[in-house]
Amino acid sequence: MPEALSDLEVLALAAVERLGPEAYGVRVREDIRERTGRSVSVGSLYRAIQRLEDRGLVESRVGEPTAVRGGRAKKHVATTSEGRAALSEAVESFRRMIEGLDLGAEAG
Amino acid sequence: MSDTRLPAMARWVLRAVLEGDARDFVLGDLEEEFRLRCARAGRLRAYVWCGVEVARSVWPLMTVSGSGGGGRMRGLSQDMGTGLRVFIRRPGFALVVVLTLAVGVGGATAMYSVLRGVVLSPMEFPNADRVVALWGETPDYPRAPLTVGDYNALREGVEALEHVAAGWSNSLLLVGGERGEAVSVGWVTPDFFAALGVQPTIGRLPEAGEEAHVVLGHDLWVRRYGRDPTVIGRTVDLEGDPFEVVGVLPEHINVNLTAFSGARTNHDLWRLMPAGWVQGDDRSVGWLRPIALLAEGASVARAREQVDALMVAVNATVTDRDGGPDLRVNVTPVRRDLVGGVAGTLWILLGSVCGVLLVAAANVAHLMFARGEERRTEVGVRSALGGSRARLVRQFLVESSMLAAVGGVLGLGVALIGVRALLASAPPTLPRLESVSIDPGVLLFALGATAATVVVFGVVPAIRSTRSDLATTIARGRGTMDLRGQRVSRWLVVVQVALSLTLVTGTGLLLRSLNELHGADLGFDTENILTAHLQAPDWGDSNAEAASKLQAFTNRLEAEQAVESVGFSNRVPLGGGLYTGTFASEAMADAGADAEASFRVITPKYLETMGIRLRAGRSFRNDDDLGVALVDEVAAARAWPGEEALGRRVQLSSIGSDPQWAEVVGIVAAVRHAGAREPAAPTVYTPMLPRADQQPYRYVAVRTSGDPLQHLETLRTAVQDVDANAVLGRTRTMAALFDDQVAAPRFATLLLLLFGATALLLATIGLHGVMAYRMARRRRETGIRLALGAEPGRLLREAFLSGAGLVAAGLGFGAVLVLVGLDPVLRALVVNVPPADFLTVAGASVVILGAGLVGAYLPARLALAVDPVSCLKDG
Repeated sequence: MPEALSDLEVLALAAVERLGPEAYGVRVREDIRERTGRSVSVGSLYRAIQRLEDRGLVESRVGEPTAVRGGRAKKHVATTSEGRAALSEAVESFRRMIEGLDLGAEAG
Repeated sequence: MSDTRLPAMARWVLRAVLEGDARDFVLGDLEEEFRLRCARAGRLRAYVWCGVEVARSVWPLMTVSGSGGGGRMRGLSQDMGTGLRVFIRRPGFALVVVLTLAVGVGGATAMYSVLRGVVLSPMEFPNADRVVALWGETPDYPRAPLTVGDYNALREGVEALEHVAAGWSNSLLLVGGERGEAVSVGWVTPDFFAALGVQPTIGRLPEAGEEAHVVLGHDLWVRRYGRDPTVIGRTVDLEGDPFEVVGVLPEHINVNLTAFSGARTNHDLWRLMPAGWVQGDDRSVGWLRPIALLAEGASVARAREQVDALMVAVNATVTDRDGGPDLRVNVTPVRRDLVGGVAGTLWILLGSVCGVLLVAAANVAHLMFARGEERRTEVGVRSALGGSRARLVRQFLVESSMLAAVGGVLGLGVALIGVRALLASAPPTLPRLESVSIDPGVLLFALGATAATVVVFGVVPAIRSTRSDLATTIARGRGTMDLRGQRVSRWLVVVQVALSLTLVTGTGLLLRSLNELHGADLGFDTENILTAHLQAPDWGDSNAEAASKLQAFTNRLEAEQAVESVGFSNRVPLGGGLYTGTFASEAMADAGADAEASFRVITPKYLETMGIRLRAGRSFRNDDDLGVALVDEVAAARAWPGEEALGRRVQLSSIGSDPQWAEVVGIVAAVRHAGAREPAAPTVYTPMLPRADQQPYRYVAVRTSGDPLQHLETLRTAVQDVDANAVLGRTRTMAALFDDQVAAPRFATLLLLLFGATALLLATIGLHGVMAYRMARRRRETGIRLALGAEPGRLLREAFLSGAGLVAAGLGFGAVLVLVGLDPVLRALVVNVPPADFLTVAGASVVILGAGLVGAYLPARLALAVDPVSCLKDG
């Protein structure tokens, strides 16, 4: 049985999927912060992405070095088809968990 | 552009935990966002953000689980496994580090916990921060109770003080129920509880004028009334007078600010003083212990100014006062007043324990450092085989943290045991012991400090060695430690020796001082004497009746087989309290002069019972009247300097009565009533029998054959044979009173002895470690020199001398520390020994020199006991 995704990994996977080919550390953290209000540290995100990559859920390529990064390269990531499947499975199990719960506001 | 580059610290930290591409990605992300934030929110905020971000990222980055790629980090558990193997291979090293940490962390925590409980944490009642104690101070008496007149002057004349209240205490018989018991009673003015801000748990406080009402202390309520709430409204019988219980004070509140000295146990009962007691401007007896609440917004300094000004004005109008006309009133915050006597000692002990902590940290630092250097070859090989720097640093970090964690846990154990041991051996006069517990903040601090030592000194060598040229590191083999490393380890030894010298000298001084305290001639015996406050509700209607009752008690007690002699006095030595008057020789009286003295009112056999020596003349007789007196050597020297005092006439002005002339019929040896720390005050003795009915206090002293406490019940029964309602209260043996006096210094000395010994042990281990390490590094060189025909004796001497040089440097440095730092600190603590006592410093130096030389000699000896061939082969 594959190891379950942590909630941070689910958030990161979703952000990568949304951002498409432009996804890399700074953008992913921005996206998570804007949508969930959660401030993820550079280190935590790197670890989460690394775990996703280890499990083949995302793949990475090294971008061009830029001046604004002190001449360092970006690590672009993109979801793989396994990643998309894992994301929808995670969302599905989450939906099943909250099904029938009266939480005041229905998510639709 | 350069000013928006990522802070160097962030780069440095992340480089230590990351490598290769990962480092670029993470640092790139960080720098990109850092610049963005610089532009948006300013550099300062960006810096703060960056610091927080790096701190939050270190742990996740260290625990990234990598797959593939040689440079990726492996799991933490693998590092720990490696660490464990390393420790098992060299258990001695791990053991020494862990034990050193445990001793340092545990000791510091235990000591600070006691200090915090006793000195630093708030007292239990609400206004503790604003309540001040008001003590009188005269040239002879630093802590004198105040007279009614001065109390009233303070009540009216000081704007910065409100609720000026006063307390007094005694012990009374609580009658009724199956048995009577002597209870300790606090007598207070109506403002007393308002000043403290204390409210009863049940019932109410007595209001002004309610003089037949009492408030129970929590303990008495539990002990005698079984927490019965219906006790409110009940009538209790205090020596035949009925009192109504109106309230019960809360638990754990010790508001005993009424005692003058000795143990500050809480009172059982509280009642209001009759209003008449504290009215008027009588200054003949100092017996009140006032406290006050600082007015809202007023500082202690302002209260002091106002009180000083007031007392100058008051003194100008006063000619006759108990304690003398020249009175100052000290305004002391009540917390400092309560712990004042012991606070200095505790701070010194805390300083010492910090010294031990420093020595411990230096030891650990040195061990870690030496070991890091030792492993440089290993580091070099691993780096060459592709082990990344981050990987190696992390390995070292994990090992260090494991040591720190185990040491910390053991340290917590030591702290727990230490606090218990401290509480068990603490003197009963140490106030507020009940509020002592382990302080988590301190534990964390001590742990953090030592853990930081472990980590920094464990990791730095690893970082440094990976930075250096790997090829050289390996090629050098077990080459000598670089110069910087050697300097660090040498300095550590010098510092350790210096700190040890300071601690050992301090211990020596305290030991000598304690010896002085024990050996001091107090002027009275402390063995086989019991003193007690004899209370009887009825002493008859005339002096003749009171005197015959005193005689009856004396005779009945002396009839007991175990009793050797019995005497009465208005005060007993070491028992606290003050009763003064003035005396004058004829010449002084002619000149209108007099001198202050303690007045002791005694029965004939009191001197003999207490073992107070008669220098000349005789003691009192049963038929003596007020026309005779005894003076002690101090008073005699003051009134008749260089002359014979026996047979002279002395004018005595005992408080509240007219001056009276008496003949000096005996000269008595000086008595240190207040203990060995205070000089003997001039003392005048007058007979008690002619004034037996006017005594507020009648203390009985009983000399027994053997331990007086064995005969306590017999004595109680004897007293009740004479008067069924009479009670022996405040029974103390002189030995116990004396013990109270020396208990605190003995406690301090014991602790310092412990710290000194620990520091010495740690320093010896440290020196041994340095020497053993240095000899091991030079094994190869030694082997070559031996093979080339060098004399072993010379090599031994060389090695030994280099160690001895470090010890000597440490001693010199330590001597400076002793003179500059220890001297002023210890002045407050030691008695009759000059703090920078040459003998003690010299003795301590010899001890340390001995320990140090053993630490230097053994490794040198061992290093030479090797076979040159095997040395060279190993090399």
